[in-house]
Amino acid sequence: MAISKSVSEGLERRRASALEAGGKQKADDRHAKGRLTARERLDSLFSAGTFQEVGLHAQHATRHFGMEKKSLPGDGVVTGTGFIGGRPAAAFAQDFTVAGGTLGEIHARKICQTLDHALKAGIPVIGFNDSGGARIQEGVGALSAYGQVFYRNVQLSGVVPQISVIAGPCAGGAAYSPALTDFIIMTREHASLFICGPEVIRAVTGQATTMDEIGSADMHATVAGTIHFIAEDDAHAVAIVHRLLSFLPSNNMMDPPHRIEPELSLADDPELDELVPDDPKTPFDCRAVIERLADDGDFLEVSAGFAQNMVIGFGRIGGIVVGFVANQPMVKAGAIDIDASDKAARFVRFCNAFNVPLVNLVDVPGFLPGVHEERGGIIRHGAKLLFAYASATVPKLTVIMRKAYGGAYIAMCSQDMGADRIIAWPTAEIAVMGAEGAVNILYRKELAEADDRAARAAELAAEYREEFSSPYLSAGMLFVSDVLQPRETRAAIALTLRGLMSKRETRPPKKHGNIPL
Amino acid sequence: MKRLRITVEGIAYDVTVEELDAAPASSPAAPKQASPTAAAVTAPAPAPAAVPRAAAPAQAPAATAEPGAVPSPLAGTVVQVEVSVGQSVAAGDSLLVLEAMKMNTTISAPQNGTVTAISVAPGATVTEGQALLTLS
Repeated sequence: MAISKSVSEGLERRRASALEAGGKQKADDRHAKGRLTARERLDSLFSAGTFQEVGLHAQHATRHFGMEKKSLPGDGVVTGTGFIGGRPAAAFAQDFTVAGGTLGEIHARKICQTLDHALKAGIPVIGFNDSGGARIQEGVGALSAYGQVFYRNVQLSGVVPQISVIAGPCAGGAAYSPALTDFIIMTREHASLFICGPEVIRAVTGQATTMDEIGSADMHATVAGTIHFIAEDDAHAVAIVHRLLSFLPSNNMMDPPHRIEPELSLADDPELDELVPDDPKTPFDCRAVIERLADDGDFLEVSAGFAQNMVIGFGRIGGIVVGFVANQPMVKAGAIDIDASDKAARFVRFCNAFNVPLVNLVDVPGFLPGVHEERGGIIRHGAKLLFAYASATVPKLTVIMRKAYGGAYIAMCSQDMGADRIIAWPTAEIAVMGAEGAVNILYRKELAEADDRAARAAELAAEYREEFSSPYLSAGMLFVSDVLQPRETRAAIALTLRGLMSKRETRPPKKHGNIPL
Repeated sequence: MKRLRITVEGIAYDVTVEELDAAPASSPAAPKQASPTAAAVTAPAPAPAAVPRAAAPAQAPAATAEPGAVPSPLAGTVVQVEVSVGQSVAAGDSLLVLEAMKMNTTISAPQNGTVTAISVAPGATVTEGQALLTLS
């Protein structure tokens, strides 16, 4: 009564043929360049033995240009599910060895089924992009197929984490699927991401350019801000995915993977006192503060190369996963500009969607002045940050380390933006504007008549600083919950977070707000 | 090749203009290779006055035309110059200190090199993108 040998062998034959994908030669060529094949990428992504492939036997649906006679194993994409760190996830990997990983209708259907499954199961989805683009032979069908992927990316957005790895070419319309996901990792070599390539740009505009200039990982990580992480190779990209997932919940109805110990250490950290420079004009690296606050100094910085005046990333405090948002006084004096606003606002939105509490570290002199900023729409962009914070209902803790001036102070989640606690260090300066600027307005007449204008201005500024930007003034008006020594901060945040795990904040029902885009 | 400085709305752009007699007017000069974060400004030959406002507003303007020029990351006042002409520096070495937005910003060497020119003195106000000094 056993299964007939020939039937069983038939399956094995088909499996072997499908697993061969584009053939040994193409796989060897990739290996020679230090790159992995699509299946190898998924095998390294998932814990050993947990990958369950879906659609191994898929065949393409191209019926023109002689394509009907060709076999495209799996239609150029490998899809399925598996486990990462004990938690399930879905993934797809485009297979460049099969028809250049081009996207046809069946290829797209496999991706769409993967996304649909992730949505239903409430599990993250990871996509490896490595494709020559639309399969031209399938015409408008391929175009529609992209649309179906984009549509699903949007349905999944805010429900399950979506992570894209750009591990090969990703051009034209294809670039928009990763762009709709939460995090993009791109390999430094062998990958490109662009809408119109150098040839098209030259043909249409006459501008001579290079792929490095418009589509490289370096450009996207530092100038455009499109990608969040650069990976040195495929293995590194997978390692970043693993690390990222270690901070993220499987879906928006779950808590992030907190590591709550029954006992909470509330010890002081004197090192934090040491980090604050004497002179308020001397910059310090806000990442050093983050690393002191985060458990084991474990901090995953996101978008490290873009808008470096704002630092964002994940860590844990007292076991609770948090998103850090910090001004970086070492770059552009920590002032908020267009890119910094966009970077922080999107991160705040992500954290709120996925129940990650926010810890905001403030040392901000203001919004960056400049013609470029005003004409570039700093009002529109800065408003995103205000919008993101005000609409976030996750626990929000703000630490005012030093400067907190003007609108930028509010944009860094002041109490008025719904912060649950505001901690100020004794070094905090909180005011509507800097002392020098303020005395020029408040004492305009007196200064005009002063014998030594500069000396009098400095004197008045010192008085103003003492009287009107002191944290005790804000604390007296209850804008600040408490003034703490830097060394007391970590324990205070850890304890506050523990007390906020049950936070519930309801808002009026609506389709969605209208964030200034 | 002709080098021109063009000021658009208070921002100085250094552009290179190439005379292409036989070329059609729509063929612009190759953009100057600026730092990767700087927006390239191309001037269509042969009418350098008609510089398009191509500079992306969010990006630093391409004012650092000289190779090796170290641009100011933001507008401010020079507090201190920590190197002298002829001095060799390693990437990451402090070159000068700017004060801007109530904060000192240290300008570090982007690469190893020798200081060939210092374009600013303490007390000078500088604009974003302005060349502070030049490294060979």
